[in-house]
Amino acid sequence: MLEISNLHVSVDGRQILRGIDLNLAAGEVHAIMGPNGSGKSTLAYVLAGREGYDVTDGSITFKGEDLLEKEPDERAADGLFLAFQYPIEIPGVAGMTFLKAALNAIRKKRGLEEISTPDFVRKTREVAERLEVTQEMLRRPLNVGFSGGEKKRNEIMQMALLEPSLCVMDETDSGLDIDALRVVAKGVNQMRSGDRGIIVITHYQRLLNHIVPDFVHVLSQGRIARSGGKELALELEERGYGEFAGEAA
Amino acid sequence: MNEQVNIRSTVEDALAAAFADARAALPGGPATRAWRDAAFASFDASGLPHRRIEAWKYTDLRRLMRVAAPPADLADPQVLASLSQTDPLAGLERARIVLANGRYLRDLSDVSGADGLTVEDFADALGGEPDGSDGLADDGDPLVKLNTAFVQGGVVVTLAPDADPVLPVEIVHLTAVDKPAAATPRVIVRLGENARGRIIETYRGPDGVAYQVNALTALDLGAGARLEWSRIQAEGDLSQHISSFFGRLDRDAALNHLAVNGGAALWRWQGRVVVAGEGADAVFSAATLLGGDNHGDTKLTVTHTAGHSTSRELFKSVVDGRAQGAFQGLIEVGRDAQKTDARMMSQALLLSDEAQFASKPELEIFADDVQCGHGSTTGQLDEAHLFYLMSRGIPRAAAARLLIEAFLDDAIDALEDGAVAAALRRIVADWLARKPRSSS
Repeated sequence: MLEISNLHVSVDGRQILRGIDLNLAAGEVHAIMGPNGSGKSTLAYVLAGREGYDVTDGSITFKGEDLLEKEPDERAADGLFLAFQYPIEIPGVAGMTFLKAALNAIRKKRGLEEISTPDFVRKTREVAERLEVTQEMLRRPLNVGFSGGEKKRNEIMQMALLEPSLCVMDETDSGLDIDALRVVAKGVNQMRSGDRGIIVITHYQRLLNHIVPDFVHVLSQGRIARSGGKELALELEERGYGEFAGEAA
Repeated sequence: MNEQVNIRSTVEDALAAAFADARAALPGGPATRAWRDAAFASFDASGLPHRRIEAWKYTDLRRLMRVAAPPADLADPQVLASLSQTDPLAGLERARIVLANGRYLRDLSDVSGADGLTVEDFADALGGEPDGSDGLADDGDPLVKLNTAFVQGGVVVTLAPDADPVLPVEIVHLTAVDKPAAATPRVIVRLGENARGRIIETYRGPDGVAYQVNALTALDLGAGARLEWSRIQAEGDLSQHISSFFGRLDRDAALNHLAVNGGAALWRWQGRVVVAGEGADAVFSAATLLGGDNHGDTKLTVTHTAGHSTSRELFKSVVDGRAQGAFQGLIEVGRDAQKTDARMMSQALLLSDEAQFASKPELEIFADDVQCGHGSTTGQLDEAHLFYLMSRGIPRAAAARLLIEAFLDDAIDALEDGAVAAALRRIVADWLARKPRSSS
């Protein structure tokens, strides 16, 4: 589903990713771990297509097509979803208005007709309840006045609603207490399926107790320093990132 | 020999010729004619405003107004019919007062659903008091003088004390012409004590015709009266629109005034409002849409002369293409207006590199125990916001539209009447869908 090959990325002329190779097949859950500054969030943003990230070498193929050619909205329509580490507050844009615009934009590009308002309301309510997102939160402007945990739950709710084929979760666990973490993990686990890939980016092993990965990769200095199974995460928890010495500050 | 000689421009020459031609046929008796003559003579002495006149620094009419269109005749029936086909408020239940080419059209008006409301033809009112408009002729503004000289008609609308009509009242100004012509209406609105009302003031005309409107509106709010006033400027794309607004608020009166400016090639709205009674409250909001080569200028002076009064201003402007926008706001607080609470904010969103917006907020405070503030921002769409919306599948143009609508919604939210607010949001959405383009 996703092939990342020799990916080099610089930001403001500074090299952040120095040759990432990663293959993800449908149905797999990959965890990407690593110390701060190792390039985890950069990888997430490059996948989603944020401006200001220069791909200086390498390629990313998603469902057989060149991902890097595409605008962020086209990537979303193709089935890629990034759950932001820091979800953005957008004053004035009501949550429901935004969700409906997003869902219909994606449906349109996939050749589906617009969702009817009753269907949309029913579907949103169902997904929101699962992630303990209240109706009051949905009525507010997007993420405005939300706590850290509410913002993260709202991200996963969007993910559940838009039904992407590749979920990229950037430090979704940061700022979550243990109860919120369980809610979020449950929401993600319900989305695990044979035709969906998931990339969980995290600093800590904690989240991986709840969302158990098939593969774990350690990112250090812009490269994948080591790959393994879920036991690698436990090993890292015990020994820290110290052995991946010389990492960027 | 240092006597200054005022050389008339060709446009000023044309205005003088048009006035000489028209004056005998304009409504009103000899007293009115004397009043018109005095106003025109006063205009003629100063000429059109230009950038060295501080109040007009952003709209140099001597440069921008290339032609003086002749006074409009009666409305062209075909244009009138086609304008009624494109009503931006279609579906909204309201009473209607229709003016076309500066004149009241009683036959097209219907205020039967508005209890306590009376409408008088301004042309008839001119037969009595020559002024009919509370000493406005004294105002030194050149365009107000031109309105006084050329005024073709209009209405005097009165809402009786304690009246609270169920329906909002639309005062619609249509310019129904198929060639350049000038409409000069005057509208006087008076609310009696404790009356409550909603007025929608609409300006419309055909695209593709360089017509000109110089309107004047005067509002008097009696003690305890409350009025929600929505103004829709949806003039034709080649038109020139100048509006002067005078307002006076008595004790505990409340005015909530919202403008949506989406039409005309060149426009200016100038307001002068006196918060004259204790406890009175004036709110002015605007959603301005400028694109192509449009030029739009808002100037508002709010003067507090009584204590414990409040005013709020929120002017939001979206500027695209090579358009130019301006806001000049002045809050004056008189010596006796202690405990005044007045705030003014102008925010502009520039959508292109060539779009321009100028803002000049000012405070003049002569009382010592007041709270006054002003702010002004000019910026662009936030790339982080755009990226977030796009990452959810919303294409860039649609994402931008969501953000622009959210930006303008801040102003439209000030309106209490949800049905009118919905109609205004549709006007904004329509404008965004067919933004005017710059001529190249």
